[in-house]
Amino acid sequence: MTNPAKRGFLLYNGENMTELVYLTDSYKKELTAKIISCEKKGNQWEIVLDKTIFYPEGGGQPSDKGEIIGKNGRVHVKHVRLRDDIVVHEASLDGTLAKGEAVECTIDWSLRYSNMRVHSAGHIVHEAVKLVAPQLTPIKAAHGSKPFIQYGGSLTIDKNFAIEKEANVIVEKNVPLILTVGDFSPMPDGGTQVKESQEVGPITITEIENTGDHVRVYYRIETAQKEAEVSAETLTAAQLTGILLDTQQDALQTINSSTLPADQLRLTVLGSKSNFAKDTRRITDVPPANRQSVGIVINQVKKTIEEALLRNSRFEVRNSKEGWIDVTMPGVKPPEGHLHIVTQAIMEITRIFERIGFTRVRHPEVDWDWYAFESLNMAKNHPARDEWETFFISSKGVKQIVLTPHTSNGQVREMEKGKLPIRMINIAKCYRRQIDVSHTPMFHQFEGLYVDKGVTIAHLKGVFDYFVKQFYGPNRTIRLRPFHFQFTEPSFEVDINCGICLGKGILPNGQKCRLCKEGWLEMAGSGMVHPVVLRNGGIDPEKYSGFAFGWGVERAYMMKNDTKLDDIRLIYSNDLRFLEQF
Amino acid sequence: MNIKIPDSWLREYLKTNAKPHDIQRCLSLCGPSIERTEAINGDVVYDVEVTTNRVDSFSIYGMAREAAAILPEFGYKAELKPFKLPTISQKQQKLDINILDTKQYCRRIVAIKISHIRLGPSPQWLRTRLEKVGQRPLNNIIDITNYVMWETGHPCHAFDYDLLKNKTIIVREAKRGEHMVTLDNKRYALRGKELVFDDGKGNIIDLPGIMGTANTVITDQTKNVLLFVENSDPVHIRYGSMGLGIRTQAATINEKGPDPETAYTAIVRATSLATEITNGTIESKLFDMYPGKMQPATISVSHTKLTSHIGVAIEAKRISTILNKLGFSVKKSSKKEEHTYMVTPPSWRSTDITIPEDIVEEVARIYGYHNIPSRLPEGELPLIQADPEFRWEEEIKIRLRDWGYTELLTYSMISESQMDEFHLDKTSSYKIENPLSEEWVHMRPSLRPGFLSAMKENLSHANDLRVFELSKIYRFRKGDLPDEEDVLIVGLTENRFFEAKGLGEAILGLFGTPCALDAYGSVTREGEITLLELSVTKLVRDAKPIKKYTPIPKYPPVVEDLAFIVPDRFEIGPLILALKQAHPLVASITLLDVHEDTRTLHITYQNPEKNLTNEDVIPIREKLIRLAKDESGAILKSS
Repeated sequence: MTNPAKRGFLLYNGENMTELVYLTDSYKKELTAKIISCEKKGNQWEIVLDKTIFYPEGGGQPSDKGEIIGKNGRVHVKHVRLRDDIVVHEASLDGTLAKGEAVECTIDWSLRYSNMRVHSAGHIVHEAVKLVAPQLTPIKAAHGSKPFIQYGGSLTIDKNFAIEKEANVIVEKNVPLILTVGDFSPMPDGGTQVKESQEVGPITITEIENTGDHVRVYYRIETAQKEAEVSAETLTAAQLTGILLDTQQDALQTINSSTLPADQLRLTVLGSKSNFAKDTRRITDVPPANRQSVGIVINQVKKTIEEALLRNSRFEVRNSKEGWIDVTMPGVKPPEGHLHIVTQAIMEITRIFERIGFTRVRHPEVDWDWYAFESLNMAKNHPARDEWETFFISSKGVKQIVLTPHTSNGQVREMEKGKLPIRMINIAKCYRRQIDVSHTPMFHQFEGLYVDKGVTIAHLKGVFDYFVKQFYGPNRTIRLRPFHFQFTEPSFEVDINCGICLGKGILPNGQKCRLCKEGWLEMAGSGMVHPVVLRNGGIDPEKYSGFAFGWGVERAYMMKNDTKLDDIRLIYSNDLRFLEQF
Repeated sequence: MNIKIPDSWLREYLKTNAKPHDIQRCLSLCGPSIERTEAINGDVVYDVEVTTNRVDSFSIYGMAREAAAILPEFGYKAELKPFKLPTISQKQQKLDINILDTKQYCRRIVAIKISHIRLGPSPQWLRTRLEKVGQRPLNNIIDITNYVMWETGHPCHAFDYDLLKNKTIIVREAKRGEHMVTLDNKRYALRGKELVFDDGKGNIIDLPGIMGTANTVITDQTKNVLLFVENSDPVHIRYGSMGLGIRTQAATINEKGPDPETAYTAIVRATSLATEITNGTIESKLFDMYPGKMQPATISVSHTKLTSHIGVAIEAKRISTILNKLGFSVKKSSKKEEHTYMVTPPSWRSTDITIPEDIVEEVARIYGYHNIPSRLPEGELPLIQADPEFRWEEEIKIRLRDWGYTELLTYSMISESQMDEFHLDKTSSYKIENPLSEEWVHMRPSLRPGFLSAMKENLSHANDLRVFELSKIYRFRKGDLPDEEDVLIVGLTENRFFEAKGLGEAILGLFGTPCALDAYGSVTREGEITLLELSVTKLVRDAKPIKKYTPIPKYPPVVEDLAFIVPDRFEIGPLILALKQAHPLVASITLLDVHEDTRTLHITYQNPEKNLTNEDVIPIREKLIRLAKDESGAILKSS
């Protein structure tokens, strides 16, 4: 901003100087001055006076217009500006003017007054912005046809109401406009000001526009003419928005605390006599150009109130065509089917292992004895086979076929694919000659196999820990206990801490936990793959090591805390009254 | 296999400041799992699960040995009190029973004659101990043999000396068809090759290692006994015990090959108890035939292997200490540059410890699995293609669920009568030799029998069913494993042919296969149930999961409905197919309406290049009408 006032009230240009009368008396409409120079530049005249009431463009305020009348000539001042520190009146000239001649100057007061009001309004808006958003730093202002103040920073557009409210408070207070305006632009700033803030009239914040690092606050004041025309009830869009929001607030409170029947409640908050309806009708008080934005607000407020009424559940819909409907009747549901809980468990288990690179594979359920036992270091008649109550398809001859009693039959089969490393998860049906509360002759297991260079017991623990935390929850953990399997060495039994007592064995009330064995539940068998098994799968146990584990899917699922499933046979009952619970 | 160990008895061989619950906790983490404890008369009895490879700890003394190695790792004092074997005053004269084992079926036989025993109930302390471990006391001689088995871990037998009339015991394999009567008066026909004792005249006088026979066992009349401990070939014991179905504690131990060294401990312990309790006198020199002395192999294992398998760095000194405590001797190899341990297990671990991984286990478990950190795998990820069938299975199942169907899961095995009922070939199926129940005998060649029976059971409490199962069937292949084929079966109550067919077509649509439904399965009716069956395996094989993009038409289609009068028993399918192919501008034809003999077709004409005019459509329409008439006798209904 060029600010002539910073050098005092006189401008010097060599021997020439102009006294800036508009600064000391912004209400002076006429003045007698002396012509210092009068020159034709192009097709217009440039006139310099010893003193002037014409405001030159600057500080965001447009220049004044008006007339300069001499003895032999008449000048129409079109534009006034500062050039090289002197005030130049650019004008058309009828007749002649002489240097040193005394002239009568008149400004276009209505333009000037309007500019003054806009300018003052700008300062008031700035004061309001400082109150609402003190973090903004002023950059520039324009008080022309679309006035705005530009700041560094940003501002949410819904602040328009608050700024406008604060600005109009200043207007209403009718403060003298010898304001201290902080770091924005000291007063007087070279612009012309009205004397009292009420002269500015109601201020409307028309828009808040964020661009990059800057934000512009646009405002508008009523023209003097319009002021005369409009009624006392004139509302700005922002004012009505504020009123509507207040109404919304009241309505929500009413809904929340109301004991009225739904239809009455609805009438109260949305009916034709409601505040909302009254507010809505006041849209006609808003200048037509701004009604659209108010309309949006009205719709939003109505929607918010409608939603609150719906939430309030005592609400009944009135449908003008269909008449009343009973909204408490059950809704029309989409078809509801159910996946078997074993399928659900398998999907979940598969996902969990997929995330650590274990891929699900498929191996036979009816398999050679070789894969089910012999390749796993269990020769025929080995006592270890007693652990598996095996169904035989043909026990005679060299090629014995069994129903695999565990998913471990996939171990050597997977190794035989010849691809290393292996991260396998084999989920399949298994069969054992047993039936009681915890056994069915057919069940599912999931088998993990990890073979790579440098696989350790620590990895086995890591994978188990990961799995139980994913499957059962973050406060579950595992422990390994020594065990024996022919196909792993060392072998472990894997326990998980009880979900009820979290491994303590004792409940908070001091009673013994009845679910678990001393705080732990047996989960699975596992171990480091036996070198014989690796060799049977064509893998050199000197270079590679691995771990394997096998868990019952049903058991794993039943051990989830809240299933309350205590008999595995239910899972295979195929009773829809059971299946539809999951 | 589980064994009961009374705390008071254990402490006879274990000096420790650890309390019973400490013992339970520590042993469970590092050794045999103590599954529960029971308080009996001020004593604590541990119920211990001993794994099959650790027959050496299946005794009071064996457990004390484990505890002595484990407890100090947890900061408790623990010391094993060795067996104090009394010197028994043997007689100079040799045992006058001729024991022959020419084929060396036994690794060791020890025996001694005790005479003038006073048969009767055992003293209270002995009875109490046996009761605590769950063994019913009988008479003092039998009780002593049981007591010794519990304490030392080696089964022990007593013959009535006077019933061994022939003074001969020959160890041999049984012949098929021979008979014997066991001490519980059960008669058995032998399969052959069981290990038996022969009296030299072809009579069986014992089923060694498993159970005594009635003809030589202790009776009320017994005056003189022959205490007898044989350590025989475990495979023979297993064979005899399983084949005859005689699963005694002795058989359970003997089939796992107990340490022959313990046989000696057992007989000395039994002898001293017998003289003490029954007042008998030793009448012979201790017979000891020991051809099968075990020579534990020395195993070499490097420090790197040990620590890299365990996943944690353990100091060399600590490793040696752990192994020594378990009775292993450890030498460092001087040959190899790398730190290598030469480890020799004690006699009682000679069959169990044979490879370096066994040493890894011993070190790791005593070090404590709970002291090993948890780490997720760090290695490279395998580059393998996921089996697409799993994804398809999930897709089908989830779709069916969301279309309102519930999944069943029936047993893979069906009954003989179900095979008959559904006309399934019993000769070409996988039949279980040892079924658990007659419900589950054949591996199903079809999902139908099991699925329909599950549906029918539900019909007793529901009348509108929509269920499915996606499981394997087992197609017979002679001399080979079955072809395990994944099949989807969907069942709906009542006659819902078009619903089932539409469902099948929708599923086919997912796979993008050009073939019709009957290439993958069928829709059929079973009484009041409509079934859809589809081979998922085949569908997956033909799947075209990648959808091809065709540009969205820029020009509007021309759409019209044509109604045809059709002859009786008319099939619309082939006509629609023929009309669709009749002209390239025919984009789609659907059946809009069926009313009596009228079929209304909804026809869409579309040219991707330009707007179709009526003039363009007229010749096509005429062609379609002509075709319908000529090919299938469908006449355009005149409006």
